[in-house]
Amino acid sequence: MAICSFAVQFAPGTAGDDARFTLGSDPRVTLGPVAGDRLALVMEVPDDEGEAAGEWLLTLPGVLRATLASAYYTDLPITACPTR
Amino acid sequence: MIQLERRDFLKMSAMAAAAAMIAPGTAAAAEGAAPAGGDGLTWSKAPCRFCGTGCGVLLGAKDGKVVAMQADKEADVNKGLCCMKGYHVGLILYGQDRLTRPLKRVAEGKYEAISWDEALTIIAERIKAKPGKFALYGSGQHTIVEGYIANKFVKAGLGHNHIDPNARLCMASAATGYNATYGVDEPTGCYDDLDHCTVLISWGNNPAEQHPVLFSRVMDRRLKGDKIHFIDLATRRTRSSEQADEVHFFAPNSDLAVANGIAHLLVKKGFIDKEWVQKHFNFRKRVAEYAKDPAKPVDFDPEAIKPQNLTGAPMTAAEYAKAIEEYTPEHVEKISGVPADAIRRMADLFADPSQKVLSWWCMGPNQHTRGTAMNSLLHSIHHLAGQWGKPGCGSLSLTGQPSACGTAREVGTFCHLLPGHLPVINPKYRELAEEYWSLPKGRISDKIGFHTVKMWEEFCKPDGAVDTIWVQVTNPGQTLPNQKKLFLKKKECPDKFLIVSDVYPTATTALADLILPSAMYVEKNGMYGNAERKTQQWFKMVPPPGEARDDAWQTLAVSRRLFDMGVETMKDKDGEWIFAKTLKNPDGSVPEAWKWESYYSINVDERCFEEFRRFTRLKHKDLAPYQVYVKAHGLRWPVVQQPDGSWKETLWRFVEGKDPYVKPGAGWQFYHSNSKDDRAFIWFHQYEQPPEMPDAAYPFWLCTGRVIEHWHSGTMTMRVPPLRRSMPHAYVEVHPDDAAALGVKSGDQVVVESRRGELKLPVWINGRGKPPKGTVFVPFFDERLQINLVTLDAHDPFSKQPDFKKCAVRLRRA
Amino acid sequence: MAGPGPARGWLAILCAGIMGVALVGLALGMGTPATAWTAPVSARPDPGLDGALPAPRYAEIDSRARGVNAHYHSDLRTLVSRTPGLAEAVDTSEESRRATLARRAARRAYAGAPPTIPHPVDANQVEACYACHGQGREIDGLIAPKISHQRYTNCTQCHAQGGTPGPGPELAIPNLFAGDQGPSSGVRAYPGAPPQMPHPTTMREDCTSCHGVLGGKGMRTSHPWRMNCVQCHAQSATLNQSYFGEEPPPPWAGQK
Repeated sequence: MAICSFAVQFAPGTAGDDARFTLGSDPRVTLGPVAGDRLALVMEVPDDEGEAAGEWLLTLPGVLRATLASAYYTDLPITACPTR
Repeated sequence: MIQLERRDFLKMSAMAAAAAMIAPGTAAAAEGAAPAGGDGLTWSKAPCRFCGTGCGVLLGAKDGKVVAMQADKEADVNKGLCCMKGYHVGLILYGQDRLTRPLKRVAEGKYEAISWDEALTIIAERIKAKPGKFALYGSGQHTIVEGYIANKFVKAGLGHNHIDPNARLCMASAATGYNATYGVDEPTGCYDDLDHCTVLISWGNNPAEQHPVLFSRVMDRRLKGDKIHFIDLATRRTRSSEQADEVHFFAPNSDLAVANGIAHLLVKKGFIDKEWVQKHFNFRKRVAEYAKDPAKPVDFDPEAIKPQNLTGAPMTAAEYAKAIEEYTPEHVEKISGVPADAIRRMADLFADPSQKVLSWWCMGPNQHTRGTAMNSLLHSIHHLAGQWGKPGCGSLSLTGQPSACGTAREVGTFCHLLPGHLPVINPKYRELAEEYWSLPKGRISDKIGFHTVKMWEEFCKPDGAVDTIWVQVTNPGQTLPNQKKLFLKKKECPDKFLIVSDVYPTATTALADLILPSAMYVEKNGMYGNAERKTQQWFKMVPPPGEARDDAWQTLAVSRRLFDMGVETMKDKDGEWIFAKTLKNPDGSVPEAWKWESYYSINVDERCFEEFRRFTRLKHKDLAPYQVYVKAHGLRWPVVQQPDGSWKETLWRFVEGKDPYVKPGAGWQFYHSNSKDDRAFIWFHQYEQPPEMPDAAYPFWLCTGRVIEHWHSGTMTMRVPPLRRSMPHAYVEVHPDDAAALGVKSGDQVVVESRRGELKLPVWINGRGKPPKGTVFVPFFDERLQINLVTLDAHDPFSKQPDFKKCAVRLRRA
Repeated sequence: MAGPGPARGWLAILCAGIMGVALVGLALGMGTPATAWTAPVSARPDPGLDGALPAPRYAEIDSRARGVNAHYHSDLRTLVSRTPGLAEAVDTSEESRRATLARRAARRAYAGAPPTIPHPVDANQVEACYACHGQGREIDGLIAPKISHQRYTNCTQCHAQGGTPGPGPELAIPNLFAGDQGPSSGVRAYPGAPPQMPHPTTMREDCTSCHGVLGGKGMRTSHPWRMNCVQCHAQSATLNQSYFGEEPPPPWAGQK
């Protein structure tokens, strides 16, 4: 499993709020500190889907930008992590 | 358990990394402008100063100097990658020998510094005495607004059309090719085609060195597993050939035959009956008859050269099939040297609907005495095969200068155009320009002015029709063909007067009577338009050195001086200065932009651009308001306003769903069709031999061109140490067998001699490029070794673009 | 050097190059993609060559030594390529670091410029570059750094030769550009804290190119066994052009 962190920027208004809610209720996502319309978050995804995770974030309505901050590819057994 | 704890720790540190990125202070000030801080520099966007690719770069400035560069990740064209020139573009400002004062020639080779005021007076008096004998030689490096001001200065302010750009030497045939085929200029596709094509065919082109960012944009797709079959049709082996799946050498000028060979096979395969051919295309041939013998091309009679003959004579599909009949693969092999099997393979690829075939070219088909024909044929084979109108398919002409499209073509600094691609011979467009510019009726001349070759020919004759030329942003003393005839003869004409605005001493300033020091690149506001119709804007970032000033200001100031001297043509129909309404403040007052102190008190670029923009809507080349370009990293026209007020660019023209001007249900609609029926053309052109071919006395072909390190005449790049060190000196590439026969080895000096001139050069065997036997290649960047003393001034009858790619020479040991 | 010296040197380089290219080409699978309709490359139309490029004759080879490393003469018998171990002692002295930074600066017009190539480039194919720079090599004290941006295949697009590759002397017009050399080290929040990255990671995606075991002296990491650099060393969004504008991007920004 890979542990990736992203800096995400939300659109103003309800679209952004919806995106925040979607992310907050996703078990793979841990929300971090907020600065204005931006949010730091960590995601856990299968090793070969790190890039796809960033693309997925961008598909959410209300997410303007998502920039990968770090990616750590672990050797954790899959059973130890929540799955999709 | 331990693993889980470790994971939590990893998540914490990952979160810290992300948190660091959202912290205040990392925010950009505004879209389009990169932030200050981080590294203490102020970063701003600009397009690269060099070729027509139009890469986005960010320049970092500190204390009034450019000190660093990076590729703009937000720029669609280059996506964060430049070439070695782009990565060093800021260094071009800082060559030690920048021109910083106006200089007047007092004796042979002797100059004296004068004031700007005196310089303006000299020019204004010279023009006032004989306005009809004044000509302006502009450039594809003119910013859009510099070109617009120069164009209006001549066409509205002097009432004649003697203005032509150096782009005449570079993409005039591409423009006539598009016009002949679609009735309107500039590419129908865009660079996004490079991301989708599966077959790429280069026609006499070396993009690995000349358009490296576009070349790697397509070749790097192979790393992702994309299959791209790259066919290099070439006259010499280049760096591009190294990545090709097939390399085929064709005899110079026989690209016409190769294209016909593909068309022949497509006709044989029945493509002439395909639905899209019947629905969207008409067949056309040249008005002038072809000679029976390709070795004896018909000299065009004046009738055939008429601009209206550019659109040709109609022919039926059956007549077309009959005309193309003789170009069997075997016949084409005999003419061109390209194997018949290769022609068949290419035709198969064109015919395969699962392939996306893209052709691209630059100076090969353009610097060609049959350039209009060759450009038209390239579009035509794509039409016939249906390899058009889908992302990844089509025919893409690349340009060599950063604003050959944006300025020379769109602003129309040609002797036959008004802004917005409007031909000056059309009374409707003249009237319209007179209305937009508030000119009295009849001010704009209906006569096409002197094109580049003619302009310099007249200038270099003692009794010629041109006696003063103002050169801006270009170096004709190095880049005109047949230098002795078209430039150096000026020495023998003491009454002629050459004004040169430039940033460094060049081969052109060497013969100048008056030299004006110019601001360059990010020392001024500017806008450029690249080869895929993309318009880009930048702001002045650093001050120009000494008394160097913007070219746009120079033209405005001379215009104002003429107005103040009472020259009637510098007034509009209300008696105001022709630029007064352009520059007017909202309250009606006119800012004194002709005075340098107040030139930057307003944004001259914005006000001129807004006036220019009106012209662009007539031919569906709509440009957005200036402020939209400030925020964007370039937009491709037509840029059309959406119901929500935003502005949307257009990637593919004439295709329903992509081009907002295509009627719903039309599929493809060529709404500027020459035949007025929404159809484009499929052209037939016969193969003809070039005007000069190797013979017993001059047995070698000479080809000229560029190298990756240097850009055009090297005025800028030869002053950039990393680039100059990499390629310090011109040379002649010779085939090993030819070298052995001459008894020379790498580094030996040989004399390259044509009927027009000669030049001594060091031999380079198996060097940068590898010409086939019987061909030599010389780059033109070196001002000490000017190959244009040797080249030919023969030119295409429609585009008037000279052929720098082929003439006959002989070699001898020096 | 006179007599057969240069010729032998060339042979050695040629052999090494060909072997390297073949091996690396094989390993990376970077040969020309094979397609059903791929014909053999028809190179020169010369009769009798069967499409093969002839080997250069001695007369065709410019025998001058060129480039910054022109003084360097290779000999296969003495060349040893070695890769330092992860646990080897690392030179972290300030003196070495400064020397390495100075050498880097000499090959770059400004921090972030693509470095110039300090040796002749006779091959135009990317495989030739990858032979040494694909994984990085240290041969007899000279380091060929690993490419830090492996997704590009046109090396000579950005990297100019530092020497004079063609015939003819250099022309010297001074240039007054004073490139920004960037900070010489990253900022630490407190003594002992991991330094932040003082440069963008654009084009420098592989930290080990400069900071790995084959990095320049004084720039090598003291802990090469740790593989996740960005875990502790923070990047700068500004330097990386990761903009977070105050306004949403314009509607045309992502239009495709």
